[in-house]
Amino acid sequence: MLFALALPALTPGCSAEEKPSASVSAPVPAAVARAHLRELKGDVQIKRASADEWSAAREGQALYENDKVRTEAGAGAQVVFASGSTVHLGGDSLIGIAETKLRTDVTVLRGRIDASLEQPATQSLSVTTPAATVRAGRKIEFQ
Amino acid sequence: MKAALLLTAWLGAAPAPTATVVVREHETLDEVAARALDGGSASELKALNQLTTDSVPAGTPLKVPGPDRQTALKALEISRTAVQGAQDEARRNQAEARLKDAEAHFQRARYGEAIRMADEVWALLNPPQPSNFTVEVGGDGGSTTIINRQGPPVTVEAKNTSRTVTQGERVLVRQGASVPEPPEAPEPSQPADNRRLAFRPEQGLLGPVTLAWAAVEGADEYEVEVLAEPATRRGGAPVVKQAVTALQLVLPGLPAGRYRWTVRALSPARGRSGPSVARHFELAANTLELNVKVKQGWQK
Repeated sequence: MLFALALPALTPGCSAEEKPSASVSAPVPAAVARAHLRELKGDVQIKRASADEWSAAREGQALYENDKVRTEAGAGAQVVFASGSTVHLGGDSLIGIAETKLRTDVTVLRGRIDASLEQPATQSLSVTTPAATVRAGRKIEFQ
Repeated sequence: MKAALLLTAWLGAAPAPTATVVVREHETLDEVAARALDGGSASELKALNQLTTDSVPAGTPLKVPGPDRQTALKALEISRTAVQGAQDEARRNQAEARLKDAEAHFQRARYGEAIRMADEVWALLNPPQPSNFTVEVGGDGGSTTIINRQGPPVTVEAKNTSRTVTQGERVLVRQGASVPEPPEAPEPSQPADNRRLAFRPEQGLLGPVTLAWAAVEGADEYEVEVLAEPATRRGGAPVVKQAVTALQLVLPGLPAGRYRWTVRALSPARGRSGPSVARHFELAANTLELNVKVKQGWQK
């Protein structure tokens, strides 16, 4: 019974006999993607939280906390969050993916976004700007 | 409406009936129902008391429903109004069929089932909408415009203040400032409240009626809503709902009857005001006096 319960916890691709060996130092948890980039149009760039340089964004690219995305005039992109809520980024815009611990999902520093929640009863999205925070969807409980 | 539905959900779990009514001499079951159920029918009393006949001896105590009956009545009334006002024919037909089932449950004193099905009817006619909104940051980052394009309200927070922005509203927040309050509601000016207006009917319709109101500072549009009275006459749906930039609206021809109207101010920076004080007017057809020539003179 215990063996059966333990199986789902194994790393994908490992058989029951190929358990990952414990490392000497404490394992660093893998970063969890907060969103993905879709429907890129024109010049869209991304800057990782740990990077100093901007680079060209790719379709389907994962976005992590503190990553930034910017678009040139006439460009556009969609940021699809894990909850399913979507942010369409217009041209000449700059956004940041918020830290998980903060009470927001995305920060808009410049330009315009069009946000969409297909099922607001079960989804939520918070957008912060230098002047205000907008909360949409189900009531969010923060700890 | 949502509050009403929550209320029905809460009251739907009301305890079983405990009150009783005693049948009087020569009283029929219909008469007992009319006396004890506020216009209810004998079928409810029969179902509730598991009677197989309409004839009940005087002195017999009969159970009467608890508060869930009143809740079911309200839920049915709300759903009936929603069905009457439904625009989509296919959906309305589907809702009508379910409403009949809900009413049948009510007649059999299954009030909980009636409430549940009445709520289903309402939900069928009011499917949840997606939420779409726009956030735009001014070039220098000093201002943010929020537009709720579709769906439920969104909440805007700034400098320890917050408010909801409903569908169709636009609000502008400046950096370091609070969320702006909605504009004041406009003051209706004409026609005077409860004015009776007579017109010669044209193709069965009367008018035109001009509604007017005072300007509100900061407003660039006004949203007028006209409802037929009583509210159930047109299924509760407005007969006119229109946004205009002027301080008046000329209504299209309307059928004779009584109407209620309100106006809201729309500001590009502060959103939508609450409704104005409600005004009423009555439309009546001009009666024409016909004089008919008969052999000796005129006859009215």
